[in-house]
Amino acid sequence: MDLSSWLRRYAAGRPHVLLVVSRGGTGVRLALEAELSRRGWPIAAGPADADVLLVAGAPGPELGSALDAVWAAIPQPRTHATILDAARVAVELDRAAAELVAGHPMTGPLPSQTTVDGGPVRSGEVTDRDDAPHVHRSAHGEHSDHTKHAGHGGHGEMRMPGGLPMADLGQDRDGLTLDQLQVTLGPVLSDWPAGLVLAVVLQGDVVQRAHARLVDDPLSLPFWSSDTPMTDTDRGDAADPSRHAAARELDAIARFLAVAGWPAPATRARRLRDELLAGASPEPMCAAAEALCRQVRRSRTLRRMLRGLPHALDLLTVRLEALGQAIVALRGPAGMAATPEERRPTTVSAAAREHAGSPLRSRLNLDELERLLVGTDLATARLLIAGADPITDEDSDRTGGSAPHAAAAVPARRPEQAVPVGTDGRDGEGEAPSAGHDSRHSHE
Amino acid sequence: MSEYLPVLVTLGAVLVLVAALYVMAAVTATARSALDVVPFAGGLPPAQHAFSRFHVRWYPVTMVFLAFDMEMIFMYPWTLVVSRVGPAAVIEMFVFLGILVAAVVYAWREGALRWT
Amino acid sequence: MNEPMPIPAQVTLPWWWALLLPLVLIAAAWAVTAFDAVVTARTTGRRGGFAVPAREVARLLVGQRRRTVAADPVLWRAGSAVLPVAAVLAAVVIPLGARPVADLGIGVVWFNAVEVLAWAAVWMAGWGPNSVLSLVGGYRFVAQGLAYELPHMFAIITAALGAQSLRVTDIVAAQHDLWFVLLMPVAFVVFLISTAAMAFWGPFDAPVAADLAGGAAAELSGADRLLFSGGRWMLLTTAAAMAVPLFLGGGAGPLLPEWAWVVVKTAAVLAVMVWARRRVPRIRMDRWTEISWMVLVPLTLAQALVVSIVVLAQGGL
Repeated sequence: MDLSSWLRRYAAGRPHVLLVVSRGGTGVRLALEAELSRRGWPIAAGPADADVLLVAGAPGPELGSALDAVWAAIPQPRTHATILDAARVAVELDRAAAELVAGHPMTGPLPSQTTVDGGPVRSGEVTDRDDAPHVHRSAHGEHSDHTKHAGHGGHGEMRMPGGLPMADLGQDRDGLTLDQLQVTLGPVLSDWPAGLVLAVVLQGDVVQRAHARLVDDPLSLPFWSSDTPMTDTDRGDAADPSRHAAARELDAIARFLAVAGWPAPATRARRLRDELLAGASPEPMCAAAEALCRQVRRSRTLRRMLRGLPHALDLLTVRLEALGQAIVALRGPAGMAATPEERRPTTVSAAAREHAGSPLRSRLNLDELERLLVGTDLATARLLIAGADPITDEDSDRTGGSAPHAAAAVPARRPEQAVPVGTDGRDGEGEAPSAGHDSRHSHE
Repeated sequence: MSEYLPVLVTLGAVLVLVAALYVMAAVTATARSALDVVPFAGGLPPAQHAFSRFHVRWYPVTMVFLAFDMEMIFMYPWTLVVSRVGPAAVIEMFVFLGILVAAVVYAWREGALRWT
Repeated sequence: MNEPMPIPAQVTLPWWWALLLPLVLIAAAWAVTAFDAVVTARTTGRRGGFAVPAREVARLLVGQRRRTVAADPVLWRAGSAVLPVAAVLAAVVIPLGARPVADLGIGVVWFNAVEVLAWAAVWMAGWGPNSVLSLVGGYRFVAQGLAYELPHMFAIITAALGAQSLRVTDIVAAQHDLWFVLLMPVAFVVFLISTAAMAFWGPFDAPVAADLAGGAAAELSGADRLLFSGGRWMLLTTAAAMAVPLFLGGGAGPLLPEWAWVVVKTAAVLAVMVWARRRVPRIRMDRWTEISWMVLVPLTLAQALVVSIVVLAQGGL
């Protein structure tokens, strides 16, 4: 017993943190990531490896119930905190460490009970996906068929040995009849867009169908694209929008690299991002960011791994070029040469470059993303999601620039036979869509 | 057989250590009983059991692998007799390996080594 | 030229070393973990990191274990426990200095056979918890095994071929004049690559990657997680240490005693591993399988052919 508390005290020097970001929580997330990296506290990939559940920003009811479920899956000793203000990050982390040392089974409020609209969420309830306010269509009949009735066991009633059905058989893209698994990925995953929920049908690890939506978190001013970027004042001359745009692209490329399993440059990109936001002088930052771009661009291993995966190289190129542009804007005369378009890379014309004669936005919306994911394996799907970097903190239907012609920027998904893609290859010729692609469309 | 005695002692030692770790963890754990959870996939409850017939897309590779794996059974004893038997041993083994490699090249051309 | 000989009494270490071996391996794996943590801390601009393994062990010892819905507990728990057991059992044939704990006549085959248990262990740990993400992680490792195992076996067998013996001490003795790393550099490099893949280390960590929320280890906590991740570090250490007798002349070296040279050389191999993990992005098996079978297998076979010709030439033909 004494040994146990001594071990707890020692272990609390380096707790693992499960970081959950609400759609309005980007600012807090950045502050948290910087502080965690400063302390050397690792970020956990899931509840099993976590000691602290940290929520960045205010969760809505749906994220709240997911939080309660995740909380119920974290082994003791554990603690949680919801941080709404970037200034409170250090205080809350200290408090979390102290609670881990105490090691009491937490009997306090559930994580969801700090939602902004006050009222505690009924525990274990998951908002019905088809009624969720941000989903304006229920095209995917298979979801309402299979996923609604099952698994309403929240944290309160875990004992459901036979409560779950087994997977059903179904045609797969290779013409085999195999088990189809309904899986809902997100919203609590590392290096994942805030608030994204991706309902997929898997055969093996291949995505047969995908439906993306966002949880119903309360939204505030979008962090990246707002004109008054920083609400807290202790961050130097953060009002400089080009600095802000560069930090945003560094954040995006860091996420892509982390998902691609290249932690060293990902860490470097995040450090650059944090230093930029903290007001470091731009010139050395620009040089370092350009060196990073060069390293990523030159990595033959990365290229070899991504080549032939549908759109992965394209999206990496988009990310790198968006970063390159942001650096140019940051470095430009007086650092303020950026036009309004370049400051707001969310609109169709912004952050965009002429590519093969067609305008290419640097971020995809959820519709486009869904289309890319069909037929890919989970690892590729994660890469594409990170590369697409959909905007989730803005209040629009299918967020991310809802131009009607937006789909034209994304070529139809290639069939699976390894079509080698050149380094900048965007061969958008219309190959026949695969079986998986077809089956998805048949539902619409 | 006596040369395996240290192996058995080592096995015993490591098993004792594993058991000791579990005992120690049972004493030091903050909560004695295991936590019952639903599998994690992002926070929303699972709709189905994950146990399923997994689509093993690299199935052809397992077949090619088996052929080579059997070949290793010949190759281990072969290493001991190379100089005793002389060039014949080397020629025979590498002709055999050459045939297998030809089969691998064929499988590769058929796309068996690629699945995305 | 090297006829199987009756074992002289001094060939193996005293019997109580068999009891000590797990502790030696744990200490070595501990040191590697600390080294890796220090390097990580440096890259993020912090100091320290030495305490990381101790804090992790403490954290997992006080951590609660978990049980998922309708899990397969036997396979799941066994998967965690098999990793460290396999690592220690594979290490019995590695000379710690001049002599190993057990000088098996088929030492190389034993090492190979035991380390393949990792294959089963990771899959069992992935399958056990009835969780999609860990299931995918487990299957990723099976695919990885199909890719790395053959070049790995050919690399090992090339060393055995060079010594014309499957006994590890004979292989060390055969490097008296020329270390095998010089005679068979391709086999050495392939051995290092496949070692990383076997320990799902560095660029080959897809089975436990964060994009699957931890993959095969996604649902492990407490003592189970300690066994799994500790076993993984021990497996990496064992496999790296095996490179020393196979390719780096065992304990041979000036000034220092033999055991010290084994330690130094093992540390050097592990340093390469720690470096490579940061240097290279994650390797996808659907790409690597092709490279492994079409490039590494022919290369290692060519290497084996060269070595067997050298062996014939030395045999006076």
